[in-house]
Amino acid sequence: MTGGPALSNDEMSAAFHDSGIATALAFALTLIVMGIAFGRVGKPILMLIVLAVSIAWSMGVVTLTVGHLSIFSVMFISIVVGIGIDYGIYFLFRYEEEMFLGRGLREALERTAVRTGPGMAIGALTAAGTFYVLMLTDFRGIRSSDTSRARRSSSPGSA
Amino acid sequence: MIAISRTGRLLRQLVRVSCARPVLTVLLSVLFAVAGIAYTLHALTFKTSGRDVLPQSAPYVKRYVEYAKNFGELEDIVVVVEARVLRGRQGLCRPPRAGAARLSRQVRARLLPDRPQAVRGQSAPVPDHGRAQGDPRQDLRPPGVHGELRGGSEPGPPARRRQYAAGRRLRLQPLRPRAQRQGPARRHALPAHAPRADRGAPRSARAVSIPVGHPLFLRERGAGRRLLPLRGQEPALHPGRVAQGGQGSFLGDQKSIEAVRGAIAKLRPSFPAVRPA
Repeated sequence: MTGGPALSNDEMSAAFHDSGIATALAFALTLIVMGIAFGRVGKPILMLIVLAVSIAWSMGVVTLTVGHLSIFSVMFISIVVGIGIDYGIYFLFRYEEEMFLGRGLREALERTAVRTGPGMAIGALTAAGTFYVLMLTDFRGIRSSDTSRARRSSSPGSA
Repeated sequence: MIAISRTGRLLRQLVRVSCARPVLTVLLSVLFAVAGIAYTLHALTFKTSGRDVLPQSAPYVKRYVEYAKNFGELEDIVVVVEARVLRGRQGLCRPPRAGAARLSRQVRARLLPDRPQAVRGQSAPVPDHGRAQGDPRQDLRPPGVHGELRGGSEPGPPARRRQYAAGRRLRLQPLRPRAQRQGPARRHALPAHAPRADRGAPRSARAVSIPVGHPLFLRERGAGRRLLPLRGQEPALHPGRVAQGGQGSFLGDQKSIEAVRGAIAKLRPSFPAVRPA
């Protein structure tokens, strides 16, 4: 069985399959790097769980607003794993710093939110803005994939 | 700075609320995540066509779409089945013939329930001559689709055209000027002046307007090679059975493509001698 539609369908299936593998690899490699950086696995795993939850929120928002994935945007999950984990790293490092200074759990979280939160929020908004700018292009493949990434970057879960 | 400090205070309030009810916070987060995944699995679609990602207002895309309407076979699904020739009295290949009929029925059964227009087309009988040589996959390309392709009654067509004629055995009408076109329905129906070729019309009247669609082909292998398009329900093989996507094309129609694949997979055990290519 062949023909243009069948080949397009196969390309999309292959891209989706590869995207799944790339996402799993992105999670695994991120976990390894953070495990090496922090010297333990517990907190990095928790961060990745939070990231997975926020990506699940984002998928819902993307489905609601964009509604489809193309061969370009199908890879966006693996990309936002790399972008989204940044915010967790900033937060975790600042939290560790506050804890090192002898603050309690709740106080450390609050101070981290007050001191690091605004910077992270601005970073997320500028990243989302950059992706939204690409929506001005005529090329619909880039437009839809960047909309997906922008929605992910600006979603509440990212911060 | 004011906005930043406001954001900080807002985030601190958020942390306080979350820390006051940690279980509720986690439960709500997981609930929203599950809802997001469930909704995504239910509603997210895929645009498989490369054409979908191009700017639809660009002149070259408009031109492509216009040509694609005229040259429907740009978006064909072609099923080629390879089998040994078992020639009977009628000169027909028994396993492919049975396979053709069943495959066609399967495809119809899978596509038709929710879209009655999914499988349609016109056909003309296949004469028992006109064997194609060489790679039959090349023969599927219609060199004369935009012009006129004569059948056996016409004086010697070029070899390449003859190969194609063996597969399609369609006599195509030349494209009419744009002013004479009557919209999409024209391409999917026989012109009013053309009699149904599969009802034994005189050969001179066997003119079939090429439908924009998706012919299914059989390929025989044996003493010679011949392309035999699939045809369902009728006892003999006929060309030009056209499977048509619900929106005029199979492009991006993942459901239909999988339905055709499913029909092929279902038939495979029943016809071990027939090999889908």
